[in-house]
Amino acid sequence: MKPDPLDLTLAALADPTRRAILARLARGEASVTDLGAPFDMSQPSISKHLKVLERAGLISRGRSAQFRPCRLEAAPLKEVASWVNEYRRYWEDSFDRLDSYLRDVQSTRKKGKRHVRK
Amino acid sequence: MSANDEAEDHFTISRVFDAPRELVWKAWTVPDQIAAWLGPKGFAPARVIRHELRPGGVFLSAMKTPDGSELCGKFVYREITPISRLVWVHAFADVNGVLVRHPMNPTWPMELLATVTFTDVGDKTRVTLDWVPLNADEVERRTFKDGK
Repeated sequence: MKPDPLDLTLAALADPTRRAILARLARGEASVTDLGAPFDMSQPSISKHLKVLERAGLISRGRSAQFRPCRLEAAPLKEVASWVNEYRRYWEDSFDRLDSYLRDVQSTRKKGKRHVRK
Repeated sequence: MSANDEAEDHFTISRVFDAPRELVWKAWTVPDQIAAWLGPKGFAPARVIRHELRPGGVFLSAMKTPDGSELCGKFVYREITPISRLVWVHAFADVNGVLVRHPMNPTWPMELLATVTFTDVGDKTRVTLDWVPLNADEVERRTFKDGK
């Protein structure tokens, strides 16, 4: 299954280092070296995190091969914010699934036991 | 511990299901059955880690997040009145049951009080769920309210 954009965003946000990187970028663009500084982590590890963030559309990177500053992209975050707040949807989804679950259980029962409800 | 009393702090959702109350109750209290439907669309059924259906007992179920790690929903039951009422404290947790903040929303209340009631409507069943922040500070209550 191809992950949808929200899946990618949520996966990217699931890691504390990546969240810290985003928090840093909220204050302005920065180079890989700048971003790596607060963490006890090798540059390749930081680059790996940046790739995940980039794939999720949470950051964009400058073109220059030498110095590719990272920038925060706000759009996917806004989508997450509206998604997490919509807990009504969480329950609507759950109730939809409960509804079909109950239908399935009852139709199986009817077939299995030849049980007929009035 | 007390929940906030103001009506505006509550989130309520209600629906009538075409099934007898006994069956609906089971769907909410038998672990494999809850796991089959609880949760947002597009997620695999939750993995039930703990299920103790008694006051003070814990229901802990893990969902796979897109990166393959697991996030749990934790219920600590307060009241179990067969086929009519369930009350629990609802929170996010790790697989050991230790409470965690909402992974994407740091000001989401740590705990919500959930009350579910089951009533007959002819041979169908009305289920009403009420959620209210528990021991929440002002910012957390606002985050919850803004989501409605």
